Amino acid sequence: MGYSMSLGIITKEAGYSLLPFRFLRFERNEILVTAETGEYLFVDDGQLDDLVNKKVDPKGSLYRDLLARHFIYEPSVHNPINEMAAQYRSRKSFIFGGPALHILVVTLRCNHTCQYCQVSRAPLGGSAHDMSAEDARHAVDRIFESPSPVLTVEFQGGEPLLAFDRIRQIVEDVLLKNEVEKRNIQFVISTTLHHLDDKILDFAKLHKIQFSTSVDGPAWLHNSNRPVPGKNSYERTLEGIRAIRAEMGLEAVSALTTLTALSLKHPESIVDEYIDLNFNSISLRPLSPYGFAKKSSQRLGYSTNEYIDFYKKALEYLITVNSQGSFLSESYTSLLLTNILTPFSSGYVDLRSPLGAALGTLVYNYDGDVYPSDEARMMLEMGENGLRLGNVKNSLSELLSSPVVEVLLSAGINESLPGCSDCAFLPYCGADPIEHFSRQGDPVGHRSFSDFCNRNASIMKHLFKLLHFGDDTSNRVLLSWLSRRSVADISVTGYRG
Amino acid sequence: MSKPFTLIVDSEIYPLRVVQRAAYALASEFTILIKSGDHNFELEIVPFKISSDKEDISPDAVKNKVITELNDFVVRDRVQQETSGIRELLAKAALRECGV
Amino acid sequence: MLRLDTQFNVQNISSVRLLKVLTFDELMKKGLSVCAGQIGYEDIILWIDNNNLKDLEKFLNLPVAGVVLSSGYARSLKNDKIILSCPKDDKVVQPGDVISVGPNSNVVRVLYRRGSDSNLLFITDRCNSYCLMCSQPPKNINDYWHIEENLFLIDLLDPAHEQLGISGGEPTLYRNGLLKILKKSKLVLPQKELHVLSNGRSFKDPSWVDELVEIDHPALTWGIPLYADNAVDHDHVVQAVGAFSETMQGIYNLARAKQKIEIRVVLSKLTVARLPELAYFIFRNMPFVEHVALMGIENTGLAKKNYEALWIDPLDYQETLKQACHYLEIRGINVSIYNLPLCVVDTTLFPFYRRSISDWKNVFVDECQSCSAAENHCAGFFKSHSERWQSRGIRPLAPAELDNCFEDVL
Repeated sequence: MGYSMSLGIITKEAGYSLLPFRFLRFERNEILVTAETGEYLFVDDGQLDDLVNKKVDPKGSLYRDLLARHFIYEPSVHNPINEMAAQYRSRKSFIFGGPALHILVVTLRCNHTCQYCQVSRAPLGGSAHDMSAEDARHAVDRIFESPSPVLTVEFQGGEPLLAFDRIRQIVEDVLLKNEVEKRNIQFVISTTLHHLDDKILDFAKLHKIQFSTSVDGPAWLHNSNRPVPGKNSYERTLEGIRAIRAEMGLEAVSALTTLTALSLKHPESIVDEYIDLNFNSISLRPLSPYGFAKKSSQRLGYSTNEYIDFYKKALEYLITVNSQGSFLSESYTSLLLTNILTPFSSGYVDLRSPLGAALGTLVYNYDGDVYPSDEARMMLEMGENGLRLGNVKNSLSELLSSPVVEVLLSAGINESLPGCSDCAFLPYCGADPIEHFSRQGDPVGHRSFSDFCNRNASIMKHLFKLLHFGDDTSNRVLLSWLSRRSVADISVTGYRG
Repeated sequence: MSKPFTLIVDSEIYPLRVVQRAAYALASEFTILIKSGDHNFELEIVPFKISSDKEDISPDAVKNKVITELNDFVVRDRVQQETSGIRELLAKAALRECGV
Repeated sequence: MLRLDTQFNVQNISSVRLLKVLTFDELMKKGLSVCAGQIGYEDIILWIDNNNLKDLEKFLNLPVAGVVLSSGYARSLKNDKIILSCPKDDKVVQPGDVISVGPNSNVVRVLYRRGSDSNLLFITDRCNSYCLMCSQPPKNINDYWHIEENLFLIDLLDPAHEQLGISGGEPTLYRNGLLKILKKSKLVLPQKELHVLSNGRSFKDPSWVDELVEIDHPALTWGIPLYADNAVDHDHVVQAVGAFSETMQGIYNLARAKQKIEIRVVLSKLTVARLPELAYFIFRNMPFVEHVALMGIENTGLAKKNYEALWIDPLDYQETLKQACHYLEIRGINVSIYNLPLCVVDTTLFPFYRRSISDWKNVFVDECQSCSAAENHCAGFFKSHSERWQSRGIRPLAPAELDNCFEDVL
């Protein structure tokens, strides 16, 4: 039933008490306040002062806004614990399922030699770098040990299609087991599509397997980033995209970019390419500090600030293009909009507190070792296998009881991290001890020097500004991404509060 | 390195925990050495020079930034004092129903 | 607009009876299964019109309860059966209807009207709130007899699909009675969708949860009013301290019981100012809500004396109405606007507009004579409508203006 909230707080003659909230100063007199529920308001210095000093006028609309959005409450009038708990539970609902994203690195073999590659590349011939059939069987057992009703099984590599037989074995095993388990299962293959053939396509069509590929931009940019012997990475990938769409429809293949310093100079060209290729979403992720990328960082590197400049330009261009009728959403932006504008969690594993690594996702390497995230596995390239959870033969509960998980958890709850615990963006953000470990050598990391923090805080600040002070067109586009509808459908944005 | 700037703050108004948090938050812009005095803290503030062709930041600007940050953390501290326990209560209430 | 009661000349009735009105043809064709539940011939009253008047003697010999003469034809009949004749309004009672008739009055009430879009089971006049705009002012009396009457009525309804309302007063005040009605409806009226109007306050008691989960009705929605995003404003509208807290607790308990919930808001000067904020509050705190119903105010009951506090010309709140509706719709919550004349509603809101005033309640005014929306699009006005409750914006609409509007062609 109701929970009592008597806290012995002296409220003097004021009728209200404070609820926990955080704030961030945007400009001199523009302060974002966020409640524990993830609700927010913009106030000025005077209002913030009144708020903490119990001087807000109960007859005004600010008072009511603060009350309704759970910044204050009136102990003698209404106990808002139900509403707050409901929002909190909804925002943290990803906790309840256990790992839902299972990544299987079926081979390290690949025909590309991308300089920013985050995995070691093995020669095309031979199976020394393929996942064994036995390990694959164990991995399937692990997957179903997770209680999650929804499971995503993602095949990665190297180039996973080079080990298609292993993919086939795993898919069939999973589907067989699922006749009893009855979970909602989605298969994804992350691939360059260079080794796609009819046999693979037929199989994918039969089992509704989704494809995720890389398109870095127009041909000249993509090929410059992604060398292959025939210098035709772009063309062969496009062939694959066309073949999939012809058989399975437009939605069966999605694309991501990987951004190099060269990419950062061409935001509009990259967006234009995605429009031309009829994609409805684009992912403008920056390079992470893992794998070969870290070694080549001098050449490929760019600072977080440079990335943010690129992001803002790309976003502006995306908004223009969307307002003109093409639907192309930026996927990270869409996730953040879900976190900011709704009481739901986007569920994205890299932006969760408690962290998504291990708890939300597991990576089964070709050699049978299990890691808490994609990035953790990539750190092998740097000689770092300290994040290994165990072997695929261990049970899921053994893997999750690894001391690695404990270390990650101790640094994986942003509510208790220095810097994060005071940050207004906390409800919408997450903890990434693995990135901090990689960049700063310590899973907790120092927030003032954290690229993860700088990146997310900059993007969120930018989005808040757009949502609150931006024009109607920008808002219509952002809402169209949130609701997955065309901008034309959103003739009126409605309440922007 | 720029030359250090000293700020003295009343330790009753700005307790150590507030000063430390402010220093942490400003760590990418300033190095702050905290020295304890008689009912006060002496802050030795050294701004980072981002690039050599940038002008030195003025003492007033340093003062404004640091004081704003300190005052903001006083507010945060106040909120924390007044609402302590509520976050835990909320998490318990929210997660109890699901057997967590 | 057709009334739900009229006067008849009533003969041979000694106690209150609920009777199903049927033509002889229908009775022959369908037998007793014409009704949803178990009934007997004695629950049927035969409908006689000019065509079969000649067979009156024959009908009176059947084991039915009696006859209702649709036309004004009066004849002295020596018979023990119930005879209803000379209706004041001969359209009120029709075949398929269920009527209530008793010995102490010549008023015959229609409890169920075949083909109506707004049949409802009335539970009680009692209520634990006292809303400023209440259209059914509460009476503090023992009227549990409604429960008994409804349990009987359920058997006499047509079995076909329709939306059946359940309301009062506050229906949950007779907890066991209401639960009995829900259980019986599930059993006897499986095709009907139930829509219960309740302030939700009783559900602060979590023991309701198990009961409702056990009943597990397949098509049951609770329509619960919420008038503000904060306790003080909401409690003021419903004139009951603590109502907001109880309603909110009730809503969460209903959600726990996996019930479908609709939030209802009567649009008045007290509610339109923070309507967008209320929309926000609903989305953030109760995103599981099935539907939000925004309703024009009815000038009846307590609303009349609270005119000053309540009346605002709908033209003057279209802006906040837009903010609220579009906010919710974009976030996936269904919204409908009821009980407003179409001409005062902003055109971007046409997709939410429903032609809704119950068919026995609505009228049109002079300005509506040349309006192209009057026939199939517009809800019109409440019968209780008066000058001071009329928008200054009432005007006939041209066909071109109706592009976005849902057409309700019956």
